[in-house]
Amino acid sequence: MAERRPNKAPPKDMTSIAPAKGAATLGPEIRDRIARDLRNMWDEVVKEGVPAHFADLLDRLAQQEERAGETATSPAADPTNKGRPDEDESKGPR
Amino acid sequence: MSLDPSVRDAVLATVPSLRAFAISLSGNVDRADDLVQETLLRALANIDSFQPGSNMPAWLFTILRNLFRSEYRKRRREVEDPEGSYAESLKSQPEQTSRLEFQEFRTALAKLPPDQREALILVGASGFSYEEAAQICGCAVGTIKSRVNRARSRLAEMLSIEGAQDFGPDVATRAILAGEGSR
Repeated sequence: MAERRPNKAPPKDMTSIAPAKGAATLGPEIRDRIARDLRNMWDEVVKEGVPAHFADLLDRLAQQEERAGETATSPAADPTNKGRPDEDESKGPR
Repeated sequence: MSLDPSVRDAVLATVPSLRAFAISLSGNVDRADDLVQETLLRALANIDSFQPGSNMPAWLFTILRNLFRSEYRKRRREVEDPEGSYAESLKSQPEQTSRLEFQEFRTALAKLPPDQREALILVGASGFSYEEAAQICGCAVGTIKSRVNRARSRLAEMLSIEGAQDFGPDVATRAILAGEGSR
């Protein structure tokens, strides 16, 4: 009896399971070096901190939200227009 | 409804990383800052869709990444950084690596395909897990792993790295670092 063979031949494109071209030649030292330079590059930007204009922007937006909230929660505001009645309660005080 | 101070602080704390990610994507500091600003606007406009207690950085990175991809489709030619302007735009270099080698590294990174670059940055620099990076990029974990592997391999090819001694501090710098380490 003839040996059974799989119906499907192995895919010619093995990229989904095989290491990328050249990956096998990358030892841990090289990967560590790449990782280190990536981290250095990243940290160089991160250590600049938060530029002042972003903090100002967030504060302005927070104030806008607060003003909008005051308007929405005033007695004149119609709470039925805010979607689910329990929506704000579930999120706690802001 | 006002912005919860804890949410505001969490958003603000992510801004430095968002900037680093935006710079790595766009290759331009000014455009990166525009991207971050637009991300903050979008995030606060949709803050109700953020689940308290979930991963704020990943949520913000996803917004930024989607904004960039949307813009990238419109301005594809401007996004690439073949001349290494991103590399030129950054001011200093880490002490451990010689200036020339680090400049080469940045230039090579800028030449990676965007998909590979963002995967490598998310996993290799920002500290996200493969799972988080996959969530941010909207793809499978295996895809992220494949992109990271390819990115590393291409970087090694572009930088002609054949061994660890070909990458990183030169002999003199290594000697100095070794001396400092032994103190």
